[in-house]
Amino acid sequence: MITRPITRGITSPIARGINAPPIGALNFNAITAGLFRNGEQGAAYDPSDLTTLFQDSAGTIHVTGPGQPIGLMLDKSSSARVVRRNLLTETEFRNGVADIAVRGGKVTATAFAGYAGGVAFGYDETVTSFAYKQSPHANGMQYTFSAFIRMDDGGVPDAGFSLTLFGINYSPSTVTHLGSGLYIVRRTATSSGTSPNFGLVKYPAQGARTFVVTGYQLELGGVASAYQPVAGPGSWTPGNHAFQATAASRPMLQQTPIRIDYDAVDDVTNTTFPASLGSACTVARSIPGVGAQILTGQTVGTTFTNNIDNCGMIIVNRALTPTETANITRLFNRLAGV
Amino acid sequence: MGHYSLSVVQLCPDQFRDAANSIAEASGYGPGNLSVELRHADGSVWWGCHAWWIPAVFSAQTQLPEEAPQEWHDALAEVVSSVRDGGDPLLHWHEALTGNGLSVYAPEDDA
Repeated sequence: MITRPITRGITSPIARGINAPPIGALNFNAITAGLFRNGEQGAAYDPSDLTTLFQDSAGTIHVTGPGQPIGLMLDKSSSARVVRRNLLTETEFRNGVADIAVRGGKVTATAFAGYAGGVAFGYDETVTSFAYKQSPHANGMQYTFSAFIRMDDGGVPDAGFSLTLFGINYSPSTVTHLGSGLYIVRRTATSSGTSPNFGLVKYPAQGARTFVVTGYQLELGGVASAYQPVAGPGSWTPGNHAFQATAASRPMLQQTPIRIDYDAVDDVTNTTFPASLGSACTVARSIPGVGAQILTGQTVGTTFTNNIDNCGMIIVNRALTPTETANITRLFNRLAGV
Repeated sequence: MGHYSLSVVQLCPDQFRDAANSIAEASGYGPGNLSVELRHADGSVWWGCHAWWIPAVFSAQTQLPEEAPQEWHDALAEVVSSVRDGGDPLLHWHEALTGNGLSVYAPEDDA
């Protein structure tokens, strides 16, 4: 006897509705891009994206994992915003040797055509020359270091120096000619030890070829991306970022689910908007262990403070469409671990 | 890098708050760390904060430079610290307040 329907009822969907999100679109970046595509104002914070989190409000010390304080969260809402990949600052030595954290031997500041400045490596038969920038790093993670180099003899930079990552010296893994004697050299390595030094070193035994360098870049991961110049902290990215300059008031990044954790005592993050967002705002949070919380009709002025634990937060100066509401609900529930 | 595993509650009488905050700011911890207004059982005003610390860093915060003003030395002597390894910061906060005869100030209390 037939006890189950042998044909699907006409009310059961057999194809996705035309307003359903495309498969794979339920990620933070895709949803954020859609929300702010018409110039809406607001902010979007994604604690699972470590490239947007810094331990200090100046944005010089990246958060590399859970259990670290958050002094700066970058806003992902601006369509013009570029995600910061380069972990170093003053990457073109525009302040000369003052921008070299650790140096020795025959290194001097110099001009470098097309860049704010550079570092010249001379040669001495007896001394080692080195120019390092510094960055914290998380052991066991891959990092890629790269730099622009121009040999004084105009030749290929295939000898005469080493790249230093975590204080360990390596030969470049790739040497790419960009034209007119300008090269970019790169190396990927897995972090170990505690040395924060990244840069170039030239030992006497490496020969007499001298060169100039600039454009230091250190990024998480094993894939080198396009060079991202960074001047002073906070000089490179627009957006309505969330700050906390006071150490005792900084929340922590925690995991399972990954979230921003406020201590409920004095932790708070502050965002300043160029103008009031008005009274028709939507504030959506992914509440850890609970799920999506979408508050509509909110009034947001020029400042917004938050002390509510969240796995993601979006502020936008309009109401959401039903599809946006459904998408954010699904995403934020997933991020919250429910 | 060390782990921020030390839960530290710091409490300070009102008259030493500015100096204590100056010490923290001069040490690179930003302005206004002692930010939560408190009331002592005797009615006096206190201020407090909670922060997570790397244990080795907190242990090192014991000496002021010789040239520090006397008010900084005086303030440091008056700051009460409660230190725990991990745990719930809010619970630690409440227990530290209770243990020192303090409570969070609520403006309606003056009404």
